Amino acid sequence: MGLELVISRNASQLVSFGLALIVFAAVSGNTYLWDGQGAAIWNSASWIGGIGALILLFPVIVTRKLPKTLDARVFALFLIPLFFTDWLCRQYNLLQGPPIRGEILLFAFFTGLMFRARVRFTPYLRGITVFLLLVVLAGSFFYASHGRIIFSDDHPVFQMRLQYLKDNFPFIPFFSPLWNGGIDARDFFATGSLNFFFVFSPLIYAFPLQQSYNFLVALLLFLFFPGCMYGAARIARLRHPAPYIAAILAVTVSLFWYRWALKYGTMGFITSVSLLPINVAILGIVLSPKRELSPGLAVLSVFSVTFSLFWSLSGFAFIPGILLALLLFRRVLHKKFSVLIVIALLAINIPWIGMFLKVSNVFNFVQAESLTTARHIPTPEAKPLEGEQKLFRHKKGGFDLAKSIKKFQENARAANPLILFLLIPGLFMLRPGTRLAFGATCFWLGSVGAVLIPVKPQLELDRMLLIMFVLSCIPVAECIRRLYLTQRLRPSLLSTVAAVTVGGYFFAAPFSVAGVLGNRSVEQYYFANDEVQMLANAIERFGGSGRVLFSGFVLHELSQGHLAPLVFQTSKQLMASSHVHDKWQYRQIIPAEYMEKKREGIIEYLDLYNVTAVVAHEKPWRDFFLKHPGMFEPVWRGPTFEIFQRKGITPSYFLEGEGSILSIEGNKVVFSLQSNDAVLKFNYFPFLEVQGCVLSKEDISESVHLVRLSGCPTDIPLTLHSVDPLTRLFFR
Amino acid sequence: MESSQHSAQKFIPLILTIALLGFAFSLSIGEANLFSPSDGKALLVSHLYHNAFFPFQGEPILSFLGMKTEMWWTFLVLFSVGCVALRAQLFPEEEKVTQIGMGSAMGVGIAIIFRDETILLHSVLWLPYLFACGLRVYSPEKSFGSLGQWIWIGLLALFSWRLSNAAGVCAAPFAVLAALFLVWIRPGHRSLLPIFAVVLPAVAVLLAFPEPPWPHYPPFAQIIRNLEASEIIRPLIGFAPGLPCVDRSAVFTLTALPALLLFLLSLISCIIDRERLRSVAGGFSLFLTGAVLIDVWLPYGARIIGPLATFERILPLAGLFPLATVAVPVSLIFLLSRAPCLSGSLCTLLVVLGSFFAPKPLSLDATRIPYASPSAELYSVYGEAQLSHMKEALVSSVESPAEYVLQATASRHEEQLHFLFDGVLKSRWGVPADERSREDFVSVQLKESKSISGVVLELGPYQTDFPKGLRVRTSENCELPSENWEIAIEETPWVGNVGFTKEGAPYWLNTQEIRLVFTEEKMVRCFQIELTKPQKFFDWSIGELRLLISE
Repeated sequence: MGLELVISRNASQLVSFGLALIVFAAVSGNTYLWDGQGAAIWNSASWIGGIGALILLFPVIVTRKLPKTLDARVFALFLIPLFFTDWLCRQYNLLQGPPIRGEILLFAFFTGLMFRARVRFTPYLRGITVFLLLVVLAGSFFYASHGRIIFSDDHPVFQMRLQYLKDNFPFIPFFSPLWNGGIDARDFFATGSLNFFFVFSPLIYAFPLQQSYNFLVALLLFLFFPGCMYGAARIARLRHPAPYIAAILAVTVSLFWYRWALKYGTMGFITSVSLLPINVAILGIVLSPKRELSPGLAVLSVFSVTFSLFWSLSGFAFIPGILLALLLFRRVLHKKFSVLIVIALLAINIPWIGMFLKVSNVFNFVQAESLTTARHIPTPEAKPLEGEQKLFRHKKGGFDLAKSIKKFQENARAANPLILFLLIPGLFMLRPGTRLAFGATCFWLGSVGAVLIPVKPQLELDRMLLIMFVLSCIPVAECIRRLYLTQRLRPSLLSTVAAVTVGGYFFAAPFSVAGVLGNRSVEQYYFANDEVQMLANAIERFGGSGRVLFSGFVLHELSQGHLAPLVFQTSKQLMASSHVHDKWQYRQIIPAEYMEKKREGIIEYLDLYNVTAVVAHEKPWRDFFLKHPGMFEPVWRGPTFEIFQRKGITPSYFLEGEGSILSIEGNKVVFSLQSNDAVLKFNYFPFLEVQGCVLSKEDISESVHLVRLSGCPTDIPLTLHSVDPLTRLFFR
Repeated sequence: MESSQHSAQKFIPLILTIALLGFAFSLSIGEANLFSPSDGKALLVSHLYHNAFFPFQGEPILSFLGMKTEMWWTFLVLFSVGCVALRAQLFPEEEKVTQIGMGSAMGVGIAIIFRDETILLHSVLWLPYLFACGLRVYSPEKSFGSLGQWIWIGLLALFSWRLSNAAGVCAAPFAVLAALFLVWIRPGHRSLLPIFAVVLPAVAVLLAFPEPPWPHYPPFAQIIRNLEASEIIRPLIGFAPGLPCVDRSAVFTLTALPALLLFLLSLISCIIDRERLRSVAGGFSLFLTGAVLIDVWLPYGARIIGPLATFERILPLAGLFPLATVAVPVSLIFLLSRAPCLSGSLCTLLVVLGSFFAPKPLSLDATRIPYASPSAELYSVYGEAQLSHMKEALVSSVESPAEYVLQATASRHEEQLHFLFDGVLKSRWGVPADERSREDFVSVQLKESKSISGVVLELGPYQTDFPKGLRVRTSENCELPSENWEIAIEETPWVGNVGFTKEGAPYWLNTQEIRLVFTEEKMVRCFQIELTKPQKFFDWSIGELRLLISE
């Protein structure tokens, strides 16, 4: 009886201890002392998790009931043993040990001093602290840039898309003749660039993108994102200083956040995820039995959800919310504005989703996880290669628990440990509706992110884990606030140690992030080097009157980024495989059917697309061009690329017929004809039109289809362009 | 009787001061020994004696007053006046004579400890003034908001600006220290404005601080590729620039004994007088000396998580100079500023005497200092001439000898040798780990003699399969036994490829490519690459073999 009483009194602590131990085992895996060179603390995390489960279940079994609350202090205290393990020294950790332990100790010490001196964080001080912190982080980013535009991986592609949107919105998708003989510029929908465009459109229109892009990135990461997190915390009615804490946690959420934002340049994803906390907080109100939506929040929800959905995979994050809304249908139906919100969302989103589904081959992509057999010839002298080709970043596979746990641990290692350990108690501290919304969404995203990656590798679902950590900032902020409140109102050794420990990690994290932004971490990101402008100038000077083709396969050879925005830095049309990141394995720009014919095939392809200069960066192609001095003359050499001008050709954009090109712009080709019929050396698409002409497809070969024009008037300007979006949606 | 004893006690500090001044004079400390950073190799090997950066910025106030800023005496007098002012704020009830005597003793004592380190003395020159102003501004007796208070706040900002300017790279730590000082002494209800008056000038100075003329080493340039040396710090976080390390032995020499002595003195004084512990001076003195002890006495693993190493990482530019050497005199200022007359004088004497017997870092041979910079080790391994060759070799053309190879042989797996010349990095010649030995080699005979400046072994995807030691022999006469061929280059251990910053400073690079640059160009008909030291667990692989041809 006495034991039962003791256990009953400490049930909350015991259950918390068991849960925290499970979390520790789950995120840490096999664990060693200090820096990994020391003794093993445990070699089998599953055993530790099992012990945690036993400890968790024991009081439940004895008392035959669940404790009403969890003790957040117990969870916080697990950060102390974490300090002594090798977890902080593992690669891709946000807190880059071993030196980070110094910062944790220092700030824990200062936190303790603050408690001792009873320093109160007034609203003025809170605001100043957060403002200064964000300024410092932004300063680290700009300092690392040294005035150069960020050019890492997809950032140049995103710059190109923004420029396209700036020049063409709302007439998207459209035909762009600038790349590869003409492309369907449609990936605004799939990549989420629309949300970023809308949010920052005043600045995008007001300033040239080349000069403003870094500022836009900084605004997104250090103002918009923490601002949204602050707003979400206010919507969720977290008391001060929890919204400020949430804002700081947001900018220190995970190393992978900055990987996706700065290294990979997936700005559509970042913008969408920035808004998700607001969406989930509003969902919490919708699900709450007591709260109602205000008109402002209703309008905000429409925009917020729409902008989030522009990055289409964010739909995964809405699934639990939709299911819960259906489960609590009556309650949701009686909420003010709920029906209006749904109607508005459908009215705004159905048109563009329809366009997206039509133009983007979404269903094929979603089912495209299988390896495909393809034939390609990598170099002029190589034999054809056949076989399975890796299509995506992840390989396809089935459910695998061990791999799922490993994937979860990889992501957890990169996350702020406060989020890992304080999420569970934090969820229990939220209001019921908010708890349901955040809890269900986090659980769903964690499951999807860890388990479904190999099933659908093309969707890169490991990002769902990152989204889960972002959303966790809200409950964790509330947990931290309660910890400090407990320390202030009922100071004890336990609460003081817990609060001081949390303070150490909380204030140390921004410095680690400053290092990441300063490019002093394992996640390196890149800015445009001199070669970008040098290459653009050289193409302008030596490109000739036709197109410039990049031989071989180009991925990140240009200053660690893609070639995409080069078309805006020169007046030439370019060709490359690929100017965007749509290929995961080597794929030659020249199709296999032409490569098989060796030199003749290569020349034929170059003639077909009116290529007047080629750019080589691979030795076999350089050697090929150098071995044919009668056809290719080297005219420029940079650190990576070399330009060869074609000799002995008569450039023309007309395969058949006669005419002249008057201008080639971002979304159209203006030309005039001296004959009624012609074949233009531009790729054919069914949504193209030329007023006054009959447009059809000219099949040159299996892979090349050009534009045939018939019955055209002569000697007047004609325009090859895409039909308007509505016509394309319904009629083409 | 009592009054005569009291009078005698009053003069003790004066007597001590005169004695110290006499000591200093007798040592003929005259012109200041200013050390400014210079360009060239010296900067790349070591700076001062511990790879630090601390330029002398000049002192416009002194120049304005017509005082020569190079004169050690100038600093001594000005600093002593500051100490007197600080003392006056801390002990307003103390007699003026004692204040002057003790203040002078503090000033002279610290100046003697610094001796040739005039730049360091200059860095703390305005610190006593700053503290004195802070005490004045936050004095409980004085009302806030009057014109006089605004003048004092203005002076606070002025001294903060001068202190930051003089402290240079230590501006941020001093600003933090001063801000903490003000927070500690601030009466609860008082304005935070004086704290901003201290911090903002420091921020302005830091923003305008010229970028140190340090080679721009890439973030992951390492001193020793395998990190065999444990004293290398790569500050990866915060604002610290990518500096490799500070010469810890020199820091230890300078600060270990003074820090220990001061820590013991602080501890004893705090134990004797509990009020001292609660005072800002006692607390800061104990904290600073304790931090210095952690920094210099504890092993690497503990030191890098100590307070000073942490501040060096997270405060702007603070990693450019070892804070321990600055923390010692600052802690002495704190210790002495609150000390009663007699014990303070004794402390000063003790510390000054101790400094005379401590070894002098300047006597260390700078070129023998290990790990002074990422470049130092390379200079000692390769020498300047060879590094110059390596730098020139970067612009040499790298050719595959496929077209002029007559034959190739190897110790093992000769059937794979053609992969060395097929232009495909994924295919390799390799010796598995369990077969490797020091007799392994690859030998190539060319169709005709060729002038080459080195060989390049590209590992491709086999980055872990690099050797730990290699030797290249060459000859124009392939009939001779290979052991009689000339050794063109031998690198044992081979630690990594050598890269060069844009300023020309060498550093260790990755292991994707092994670039063996001969000491001079050679006419070669045949060459042999010999494994002199294999790795423990990995194969020895070569993806592609190329030659360095000078242009």
